[in-house]
Amino acid sequence: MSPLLHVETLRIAAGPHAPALVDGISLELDRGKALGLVGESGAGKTLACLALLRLLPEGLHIQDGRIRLDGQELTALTDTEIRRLRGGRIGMVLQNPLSSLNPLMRIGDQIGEAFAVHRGVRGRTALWKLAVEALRAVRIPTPEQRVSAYAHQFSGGMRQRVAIAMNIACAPDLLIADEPTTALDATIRLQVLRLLGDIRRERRMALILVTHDLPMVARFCDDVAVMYAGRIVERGPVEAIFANPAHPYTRGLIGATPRLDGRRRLATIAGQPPSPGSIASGCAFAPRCDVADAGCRQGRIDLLDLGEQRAAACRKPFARPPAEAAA
Amino acid sequence: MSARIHIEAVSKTYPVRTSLFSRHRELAALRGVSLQIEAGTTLGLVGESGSGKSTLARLVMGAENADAGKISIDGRDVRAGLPRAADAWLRRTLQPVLQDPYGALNPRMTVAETVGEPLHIQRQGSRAEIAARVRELLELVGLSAALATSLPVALSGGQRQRVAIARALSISPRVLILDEPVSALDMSVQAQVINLLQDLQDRLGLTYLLISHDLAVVAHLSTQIAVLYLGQVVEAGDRNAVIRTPRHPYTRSLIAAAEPGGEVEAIQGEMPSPLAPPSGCPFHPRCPQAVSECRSTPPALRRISGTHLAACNLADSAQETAA
Repeated sequence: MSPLLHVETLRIAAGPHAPALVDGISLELDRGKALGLVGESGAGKTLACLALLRLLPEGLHIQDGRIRLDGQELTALTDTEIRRLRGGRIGMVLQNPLSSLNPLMRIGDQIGEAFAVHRGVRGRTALWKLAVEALRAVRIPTPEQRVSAYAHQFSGGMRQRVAIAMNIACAPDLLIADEPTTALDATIRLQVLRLLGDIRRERRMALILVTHDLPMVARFCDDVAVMYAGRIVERGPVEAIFANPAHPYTRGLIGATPRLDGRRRLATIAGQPPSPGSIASGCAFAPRCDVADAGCRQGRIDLLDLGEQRAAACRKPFARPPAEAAA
Repeated sequence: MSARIHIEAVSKTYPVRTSLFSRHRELAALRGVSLQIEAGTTLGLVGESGSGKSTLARLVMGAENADAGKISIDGRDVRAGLPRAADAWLRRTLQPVLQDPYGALNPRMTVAETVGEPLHIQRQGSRAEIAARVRELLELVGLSAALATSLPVALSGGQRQRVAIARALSISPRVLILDEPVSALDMSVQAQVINLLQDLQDRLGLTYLLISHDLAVVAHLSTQIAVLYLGQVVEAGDRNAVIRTPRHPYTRSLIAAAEPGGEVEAIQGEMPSPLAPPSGCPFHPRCPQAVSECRSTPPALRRISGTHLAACNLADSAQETAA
């Protein structure tokens, strides 16, 4: 069975000779599965997702690569076709729900719009009826009353539910959630994530969760892809990677995550992520890596198959620095 | 050289108008909060937006006055509008480090000017002495001396936060108010700043009041933890006691939200508006264990053991279910 989403060597840049902001990433996602896309600011995770919907910011273009959804090549679609896809087969939820909600429209009209555009439903009564069901699906209390409210009358957590309702209204095959809970309080974050998890299972919807929150990925995703400087440096099943990361960057991120147990010293990664184009050759992580050698600074380091559905772009997968190996 | 902070029965209410034409209403941001921070330790305050944690920080900084209660550092009063000498003492004793390292720095001042400015204002030393102190401070926070002439625009988020910390430390305060000090930073940089804050405390004996929505960050840095809910302390105690044997259902839900695989029931609903706090226990509308008593009787903050306090009518039975 072919995967629902198949991205191949996707490259995003301002022009053919400009430095790549997303540099040849490939990934696959099956129906009903959740992929955590993690990395720090500037790693390219949001751009990669925007490219799937052809929503790249002005001036940036897909320079190379293929994006197939259920066998359909998305890079070849016309503007009209891609618009039909957005909010239809692919939904997208952003960090700040207010940016996707119109402050002047009643919630029922906004959710109804999805059914009007994608399903050809006409008439306010019919649309609001569907909107009420959509609100019920995201567990908004008293949806019959809330359907006539405006976005500002909802709390942050409820707004994010409304944004989710809008984006899953037309039963998408794929939902992209870009930092959907970063702006929310802890207990609300858990509620929204559980909701996304339930919806995904009920509807066999694939989910891409873009985040910098590793514990959240460990808990809610099947697979993880770690991005660094525009490339995927490690990918595979969540449990295996968190138990034994192959790439030194993944290992660094896991060690740098504060945990509830104990006041041990956090592992740190020296320095900061590079700016695009500043790494001419070799592994972009080599300058910060604790196991890199001269060989890591030349050529192109591609993803290496490690078996068990894992891959890492590292010449020395699973290597540990001498001090740590001795301990 | 470190300081001890006493917060005694502090309350703070703000008049607010929910719309242009409605009457003023009372928003009780803090309701009878008592906490102590021992010299050289860290008190971590956790709570959701609207829980009152930032209000408490403003009161401890002397930026505003409480309506009732008292705050003191080493026995000396902390409030807004202190006499000049006492106010100057407070400014020397306590410095804030805020969330946004972008907004905290003057974009036209170099790193050295930013870090040295408080020393010039306080006339602490000659030009050469201040320059030497700035070099020392940059080294202390792990910034290369080569960055001394850089402007903020040339710095990364982590470097800016280090500059903000160096500036806060320039006049040798004994207390730092850390308001979400790492939440704007990327993961790898966040760990560097957390380690730096620990090192600085160890080396300089600083007292920290740490505010964060991230329980893992608080657990990592704190000696004591206090959990605020709708302006009240619902649980407080040694970090290990609060994290390992939480007695309040709200604390348990925060831990469940922060720890992967935590299988405590997710609490329902959201924190009510501080404009209309519930009767009885403020947490009862969301509490999975609430009984009828909780709807009418506000629980007192009771001693569980040692310094471990919890405000839950069921704290004793909660102990049995936890065990």
